[in-house]
Amino acid sequence: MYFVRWNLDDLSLVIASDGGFTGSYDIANSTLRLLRKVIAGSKWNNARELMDRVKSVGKLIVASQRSETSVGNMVRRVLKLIREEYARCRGNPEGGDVQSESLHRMFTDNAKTEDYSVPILNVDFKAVVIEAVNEILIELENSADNIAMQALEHIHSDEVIMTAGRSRTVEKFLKQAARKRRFQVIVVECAPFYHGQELAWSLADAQIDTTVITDSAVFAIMSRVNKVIIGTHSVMANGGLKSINGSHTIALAAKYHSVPMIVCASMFKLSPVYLCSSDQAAFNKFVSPHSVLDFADGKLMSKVHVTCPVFDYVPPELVTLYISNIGGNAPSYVYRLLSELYHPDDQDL
Amino acid sequence: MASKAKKHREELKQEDILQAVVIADSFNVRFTPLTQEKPRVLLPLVNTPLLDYTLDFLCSAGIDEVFVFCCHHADLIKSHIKASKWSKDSSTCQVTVIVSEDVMSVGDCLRDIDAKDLITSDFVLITGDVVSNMDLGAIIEKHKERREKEKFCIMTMVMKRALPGHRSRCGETDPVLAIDVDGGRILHYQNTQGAGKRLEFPTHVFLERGQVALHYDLMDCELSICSPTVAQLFTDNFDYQTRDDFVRGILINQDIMGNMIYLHRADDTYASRVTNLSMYDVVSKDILSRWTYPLVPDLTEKGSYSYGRHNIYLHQENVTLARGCELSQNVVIGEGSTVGMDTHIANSVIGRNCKIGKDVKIEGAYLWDGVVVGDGCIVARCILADAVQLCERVTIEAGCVVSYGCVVGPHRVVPAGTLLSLTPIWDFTLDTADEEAEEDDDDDDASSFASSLDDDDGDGGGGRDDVDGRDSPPADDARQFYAEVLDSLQRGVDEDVRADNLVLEVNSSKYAYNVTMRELNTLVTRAVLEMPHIRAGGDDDAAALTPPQLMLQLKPLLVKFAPILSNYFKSADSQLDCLNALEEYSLGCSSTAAVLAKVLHYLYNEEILGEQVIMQWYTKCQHADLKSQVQPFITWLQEAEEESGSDEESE
Repeated sequence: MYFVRWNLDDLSLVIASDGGFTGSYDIANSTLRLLRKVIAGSKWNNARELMDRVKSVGKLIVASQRSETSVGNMVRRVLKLIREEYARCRGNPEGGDVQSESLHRMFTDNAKTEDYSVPILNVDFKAVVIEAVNEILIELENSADNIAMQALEHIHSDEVIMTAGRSRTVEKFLKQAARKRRFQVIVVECAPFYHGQELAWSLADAQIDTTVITDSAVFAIMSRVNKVIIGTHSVMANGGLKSINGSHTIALAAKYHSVPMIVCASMFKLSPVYLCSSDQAAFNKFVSPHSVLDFADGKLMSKVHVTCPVFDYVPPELVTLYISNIGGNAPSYVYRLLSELYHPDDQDL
Repeated sequence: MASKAKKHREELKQEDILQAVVIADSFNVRFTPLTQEKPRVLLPLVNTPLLDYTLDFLCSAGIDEVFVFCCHHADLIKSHIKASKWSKDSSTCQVTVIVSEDVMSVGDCLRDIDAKDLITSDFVLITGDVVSNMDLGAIIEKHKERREKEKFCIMTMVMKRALPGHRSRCGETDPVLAIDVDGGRILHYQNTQGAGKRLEFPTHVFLERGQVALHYDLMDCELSICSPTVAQLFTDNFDYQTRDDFVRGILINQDIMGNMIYLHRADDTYASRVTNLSMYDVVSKDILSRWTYPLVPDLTEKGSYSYGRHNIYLHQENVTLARGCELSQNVVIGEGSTVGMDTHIANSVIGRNCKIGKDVKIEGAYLWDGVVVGDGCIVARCILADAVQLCERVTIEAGCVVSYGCVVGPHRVVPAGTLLSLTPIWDFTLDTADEEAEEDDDDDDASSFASSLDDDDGDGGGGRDDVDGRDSPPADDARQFYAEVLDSLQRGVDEDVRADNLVLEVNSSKYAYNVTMRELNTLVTRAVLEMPHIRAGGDDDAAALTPPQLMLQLKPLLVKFAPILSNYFKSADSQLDCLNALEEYSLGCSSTAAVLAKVLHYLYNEEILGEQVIMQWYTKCQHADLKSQVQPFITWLQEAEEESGSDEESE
């Protein structure tokens, strides 16, 4: 039994899963639905009140799941769309003070700040906002398919593709390409959770030529690989990745052998958070060490400190291309995408 | 039509609600003196009450109804649950508190629950101090499937693999099991604590089975899935006090009654019970090392702790760490606490609003809320309860427990294994000073906490027996017994009752009044001596009978009661008792004293009293006049001995 939902009363995330791992897609989906409920259910008179309400709920849910960036992403998306809809309803097609970083605008605008407090009377603002949230939901649900549609441009016949862990996006991507092209896939199993093995089964069922290798064989095999395609948990604001542990090793090996590294990530994974230090709180999730060290071995267990992190940071210079549902982008372009998705005032919730 | 009806029936099949019984009382006193004011289930483990871990575990497994059974400090548990999130309407789990003041064991709780008829389907039996992250839903599903196939499966015990010597294996329950390999049925279960190196298994375990595995590498997770019959079985068998009794009883009778217990191995997840102080230490360490993920401090309290390298958990609100202080590893600092300069803290849990001074060394300690530690203290592996104050330069050695509100003076050394408390510590079966803490080879030596390892978990509030047989019964019992003996003897003479029946009567009086043998010997002798006086004339002065008259009366009585006397005065000790009684009585009654020699002579002739004993008594006798009175008999005795001795020689 697998579901992810928010408990409305204490705003805790209820995750029921048999494996213990939830993808960021499910969390983003349930967060959007929660926010839609909040918008529909709460009383507000103007956009400012609505934004404050969404912000307060957002603070709580972000605090309860600090290592899941998709929660914060969705909250900021909703805030941004409220601003946009407000501006559209007020008659400004551009959405007002968005991305106005040009010097010209700074000089001529006379610091006209929008405070969003004028109530919208000509249209049903609530319906408009909810409609926009629904659009984001649809975009979310179709993002994996949109990415998979670009598969044929990137995967060519007789190529050797390396992938790691189990990403639903990458799985769809490869299966879509396999319908027209024949290629080989090498899957890194990714200890200690071994999700790569599950992906290998799934790909083999789809008649793709698959090989499973251990993490330690990555460097040795890398010289024979044409491309590395991985998924990620989230994309940081500087273009870096927060992905499954082991990805940094693979990225370094790929860089050494000049193998292009392609990351398939939907737009909802893009996060405005920067990584300031490797010890940054709530960047990584540390789970039970039982998959690394057997609990039964009492002598060892009591003397040894075992860490089992789930995520890895990959710096942006190791990534070649991001494939998202709106197309392919370089890591250095991520900042522009961010500014289109989120408003700078929402950086700190 | 038939298929439609069948479909309806399938749709209407009611989903059984999942129930759990949490026993919130441990029926022992491992955590004295901390449990004198708070119940064990509300003691904080890494700054969260123990009961919260258990209830979280049950609710996240999808249990719908939880019955929390309380006995000791039930009001505190009730108010805690009322204030918690499980009492809110939004909670998926309904928690009901049942209070019963006079239960003494787990068995009594289950009998009470059976009497109240609360259990409708398979339920989880667990104590209130279990920390676990296992997927109980899957285990319950498996149990239910097994029950569908096998009607007699009444219980599934959950165990985990932990090799001998593992720190999580509580020293009190060291089970050895015999398991049927296909199916996982438990064939034999034995608690080996104190059983030595030899273990015996009954042969029926091995007969007629495919493969039997003997396991010593399992640790008991102390939680079981039970069917409703378990509660009924507890009601039927009044001597089942603990779960272990129940398991043993079922396994012994499994051929007769057919009930079976199965085992579930939960090797990939964590489950442990905080049974005593060393387990408290072990489970705290496991939580800090994240073995219990997601029951870890940074996730249980809604992201209020931040998790840093080396298992350092700092609360996000108001924690002040001064310059130079060092948190080496496995440390939790609670809300509002301050740590002074140049302090070293390692492997410890600091609660809320604590104030730690400068230059303090805290290693392996558990400080609860509001503790104040002065400058320069050294705190080794111990527990400091709420509001404890340590003045400056105090050293607390390993294995101490300082209870609520104690203030330890400046420049003090609290020796290892001390329990400090403001209120007197109820001393049941506790060794208050365990001096073994200092020589620890490895840090995880389980014996380093002051804890008494009692065999019996099911001891009620008093581990002490009601020792009664040694002391003499109250005086009026003896008097009543004496009166009854006199009565019996009188009747014996009047109605000419056989000696055997008289012996029977006296014996039954003995049991009725719980009289000791010695008392009986003395009183019977007295009774025989007193009888002639009573028969002669009820309230008359005993001196009314002259010695010759007395002898006249006494002689036939002695003849009559000779078999009775010989029945009681078989051993030297009892004969000595008889002689002492004679002596005592003679002191009070001069006429008896006069005939004492004759009485002794008669008893000697009848071989009721032996010469050795008589001589022994004579030499010990303090009363000169009495001695002079029996002197002729004694001299005759001695001469008789010589004669018999020389007779033997001549033969």
